[in-house]
Amino acid sequence: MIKISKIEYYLPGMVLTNEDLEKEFPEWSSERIEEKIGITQRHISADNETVLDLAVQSSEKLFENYDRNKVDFILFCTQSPEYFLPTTACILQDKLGLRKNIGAIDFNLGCSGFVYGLAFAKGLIATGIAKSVLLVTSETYTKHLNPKDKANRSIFGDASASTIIEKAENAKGYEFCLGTDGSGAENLIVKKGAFKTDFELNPNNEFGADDLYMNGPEIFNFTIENIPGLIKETLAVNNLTMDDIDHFVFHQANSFMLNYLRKKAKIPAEKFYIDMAKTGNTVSATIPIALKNMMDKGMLKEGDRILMAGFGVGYSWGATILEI
Amino acid sequence: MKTSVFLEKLQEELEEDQTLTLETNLKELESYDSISLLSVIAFVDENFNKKIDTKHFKDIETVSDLADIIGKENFED
Repeated sequence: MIKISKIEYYLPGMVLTNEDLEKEFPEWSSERIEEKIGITQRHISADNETVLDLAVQSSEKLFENYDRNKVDFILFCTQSPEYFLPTTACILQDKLGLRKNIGAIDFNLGCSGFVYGLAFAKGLIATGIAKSVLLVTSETYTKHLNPKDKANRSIFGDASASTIIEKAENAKGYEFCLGTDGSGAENLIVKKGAFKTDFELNPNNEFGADDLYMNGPEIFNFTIENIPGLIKETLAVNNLTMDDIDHFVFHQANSFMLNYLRKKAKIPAEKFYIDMAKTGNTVSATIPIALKNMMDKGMLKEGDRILMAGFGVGYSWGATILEI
Repeated sequence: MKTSVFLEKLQEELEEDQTLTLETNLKELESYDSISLLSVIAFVDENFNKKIDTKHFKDIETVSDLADIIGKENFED
């Protein structure tokens, strides 16, 4: 049905290390950040550098070994777009010099975005609307953060990943499991900036309405309640068991959360990939970055089955399986 | 669960050097910060199969407050 033919990613040049954070926040220990959330550094976009700039970089890298004229649909996932309008994906078409007889849309999702992008791509390819989809997951959450927000500044980093999804006659068509629960909207939110103005600030939000607010413990509760079930359900709808899966690649939220979810879902540690030390939580870019790193390390053999799961802001979650 | 076992396990989960008692004020522990809340959530889920409503976190001062939220019925002594 579909296959991932190529992945490239780009990280902005500026790096924020745990030591940098410790200097700014003496009560914060760099060892503790590393030990608990598994992150040693994150890349930060410059003030004049946006998701579009990052997306151009990751996509141009991809076109070094892929004919850009093949692309006939752009799916652009971001929550820090260039403008209210026009669509960032449309501008990207021009910047990359792609054909004009192609489709391009943005979609607004966070940590579940890569899996949703694969679902859209499957739909477009299965119906014959597209043959080669460029899925861009590009995010600059650090622009949403208050400089004094040491917790979120420790977690999030900026990045862009570009993925080509193509029709593959011989690949098995795996099913998706998707989920949504908007009752969790207030737990990961940037309130100001769009058109709703009569909002109240969460009493636990010590920063402003312009800034990203995350109730980390509540997000953790949400994942504990939903993700082990999501994995079970994804295996069940595909008539597979845990043994049939070679690698589990979850959204790289933080290593503490991932290790707990792994244990709870009873996934063997050796099949569970964690790779966020050098990049942090890059939102919708974490899964393709992890996949690309696995490819580069030679961890993926032909025919390997990978179960991917994304979850977060919305709440929104999704999982599927792909073969390499 | 026995209260003594609970205290030991909680201490281990929080990676705290100080021996915990029911009277220990969690918020005064050197190691207790926003990351510790994740540890507490995991600890309660794993050992008691219970979800802590995070609204309660601001009211949890001592270990005893945490035990109350977990529920007295879950302790043997």
